[in-house]
Amino acid sequence: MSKALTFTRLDLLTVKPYLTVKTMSITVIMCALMAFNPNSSMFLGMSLIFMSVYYSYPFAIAEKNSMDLMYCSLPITRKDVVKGRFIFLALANLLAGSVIAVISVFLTILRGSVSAQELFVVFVSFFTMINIMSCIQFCIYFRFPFSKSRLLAYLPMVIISSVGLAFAQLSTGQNRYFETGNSFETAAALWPAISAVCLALLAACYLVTFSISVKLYEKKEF
Amino acid sequence: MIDNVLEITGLCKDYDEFSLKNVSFSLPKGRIMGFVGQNGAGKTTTIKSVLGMLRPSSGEIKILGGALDQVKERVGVVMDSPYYASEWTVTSLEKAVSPFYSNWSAESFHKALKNFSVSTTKKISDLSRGMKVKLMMAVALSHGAELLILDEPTSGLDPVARDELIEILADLRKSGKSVLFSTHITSDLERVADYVTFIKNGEIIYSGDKKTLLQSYKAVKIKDITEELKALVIGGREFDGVFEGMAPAESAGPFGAAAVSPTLEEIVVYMSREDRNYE
Repeated sequence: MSKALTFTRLDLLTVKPYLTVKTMSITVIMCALMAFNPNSSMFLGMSLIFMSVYYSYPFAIAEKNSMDLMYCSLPITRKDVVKGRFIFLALANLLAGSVIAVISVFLTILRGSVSAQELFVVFVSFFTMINIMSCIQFCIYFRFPFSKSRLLAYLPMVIISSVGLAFAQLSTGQNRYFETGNSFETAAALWPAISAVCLALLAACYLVTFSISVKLYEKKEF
Repeated sequence: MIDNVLEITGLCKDYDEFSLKNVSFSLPKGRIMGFVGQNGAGKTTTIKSVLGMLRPSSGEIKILGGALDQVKERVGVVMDSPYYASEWTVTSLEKAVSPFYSNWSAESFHKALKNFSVSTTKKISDLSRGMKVKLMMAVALSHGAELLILDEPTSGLDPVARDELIEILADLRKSGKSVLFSTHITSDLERVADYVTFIKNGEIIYSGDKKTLLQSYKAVKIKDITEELKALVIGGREFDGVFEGMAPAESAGPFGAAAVSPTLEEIVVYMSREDRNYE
């Protein structure tokens, strides 16, 4: 595990020079625009999606600089590389999730637009969705060259979003999901069950996509 | 005690238009081996297979007596192009790489940087190609590597930088380290290599002592040549009215004073022109 954590540190150092004021400002502006939306759930969901763009940075930078060759020269296995990068992903998701959750709570208190339970359910649902999406993206990045897989990697986002929207349409007859967040009223009451399901989904997702990524990365040639 | 720090046996790697065919050679401890051949002959494919960057179709590779994953800490690597994040400074590179090595010596790293005149504050993207190669060398020399594997480190370097690198390699040999050094600039090997492995079209043509190889042939340059003598010549060609090529030392007698000791470059050039194996 220590080698995997050292690799996570390497990933953080790799990404660090690219987290400039300019790039971060774009995300902050996008999130700030979302904050004007009267619905805090909308801010929460969209901000998580904006943040997920950064998760692909280690792959993009590694490809640009042929860093996979460096990883092969270091005293670590390919499994350590995958493990380290999944730890990076989990940490990034946790950090982004925590920051965005705190801001959402603040906005909710300010406006009182949704209940705490509703906000919690929205957060857990979006957090799970973003994690699943980014885990699937990681499998794709570990299999294909980053430049060729970018479009493919956004398919999970499109599919998951489309399924979500379709489900909302079917269940309510109209797309109230992004309008008021009221469609979560019923779900909010079931927050313990939803949390448990999401937690189980997250654990399964990380486990399965990690195993697949190890197999794919083991086969990759540089 | 390990006699050979690197042993490659029956290494094969198949691509659509190229394949490594049964590559076998070994590098004795404390020696420098030049790995030579034309561009595209299979040098990088072999080295990448040794380093686990490519998956060989078959064959066995033993490094420092074991499998690569068990001995990676003791192997230093320099590839033909830099593989560090271009936005890193040399200092951030050290921060990123050093924790992986239990034997990392910051003192050795900074000493090497000083010797190579590599600035620690510059971004890697701002370093010249020569400096980037020296930086990779500095990393390879800072964790007590016993075996250095260098893939074309001198290509693209100016003669002064190449000369400096050769000096470093000679010093490494003195300290008992072993080096596998791939290059197509054979003049670099003349001074420093103990052994030469020559690869052509994915096949090993020769692997052994450099002196033996140099003594095994004579370079021939002759104006008027008979068909009988021509038949003895390897990789012969007419150039500016002079017939030149190479003959096995044992059959070079009839050429008289026209047969002289060849350079490594001449051997590689003439061998590349002839589909005749020497063992």
